[in-house]
Amino acid sequence: MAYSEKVLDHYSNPRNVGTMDPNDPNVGTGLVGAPECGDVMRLQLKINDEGIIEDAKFKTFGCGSAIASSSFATEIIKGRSIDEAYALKNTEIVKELNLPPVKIHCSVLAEDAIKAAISDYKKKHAALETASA
Amino acid sequence: MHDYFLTLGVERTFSFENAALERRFHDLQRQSHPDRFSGSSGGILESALERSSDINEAYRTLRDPLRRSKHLLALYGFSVEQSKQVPMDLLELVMNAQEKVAELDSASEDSKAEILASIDPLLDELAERRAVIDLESDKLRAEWDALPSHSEPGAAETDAEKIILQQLASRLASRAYVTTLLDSLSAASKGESMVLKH
Repeated sequence: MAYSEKVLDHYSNPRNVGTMDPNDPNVGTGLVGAPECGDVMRLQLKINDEGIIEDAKFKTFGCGSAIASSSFATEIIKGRSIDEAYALKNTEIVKELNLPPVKIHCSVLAEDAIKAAISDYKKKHAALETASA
Repeated sequence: MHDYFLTLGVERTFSFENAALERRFHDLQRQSHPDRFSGSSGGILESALERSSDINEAYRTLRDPLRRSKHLLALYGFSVEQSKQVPMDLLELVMNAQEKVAELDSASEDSKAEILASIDPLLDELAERRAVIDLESDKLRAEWDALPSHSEPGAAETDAEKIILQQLASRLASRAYVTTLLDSLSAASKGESMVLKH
């Protein structure tokens, strides 16, 4: 399959690869997978007290499109509020990376990972507030 | 989509008897064999050919337990390929294992042995996990087969039916995950590079 130039760029030079401390109260972690192709993706967001995403890191094991989708996703959600990031649609990734139909599920995985990371962050905060109340 | 259970006229169950299915297949194939219609007009011959190839495909699908399971699930709208319902601890196990394989690639000769040693227990854990998934899947299949009746595909399923099918789809998805990972890990532990098949 021919990858688009943008996919190749993100694949050979992925942005924001790495790990954050999952126990940091300002960090939300999303772990998602695609059983049919064996892919697994972890996306982490560092969120400040104003609800803005300050930093994003990912680690993805899978095909070029899955790696490119998560790399691109971490790039564009930095600086967004968590509500804006939660509203991100996979179609934005598909369009930008020019993903073929058989690879659309890779962009869905990235969208799911962002939502999972934000949910994890919110859950953590709800627990903290209950604990301090 | 084709309902191959309907094509062969057999019940929509997971369990089946090989010999009975084969007899059924041969009977149907004899009745609709295109040679019997060789003198007929084009339309009749064409539909006999089509029927014959449907019967072939139905038999190939229903005699293979995994393909049969996936077909039954798909008829009721449960896709194993699309199922993302993998337990979180399995996802963590997959991530953990893939990280170890990645470490292997960049490790020095000394630390390689250490990483390899830590992969072995993961292989055992995954194999055990697959055995549990298989037991649970068999139990779900037996539960479905034991239901007094089954809804027609497309008609509203009962809650009991939905729960069984949804759980089975998720088990089969997990199983595919575990199998892919086991293959990658054993390749890596033999020093072969791990390439995900896409």
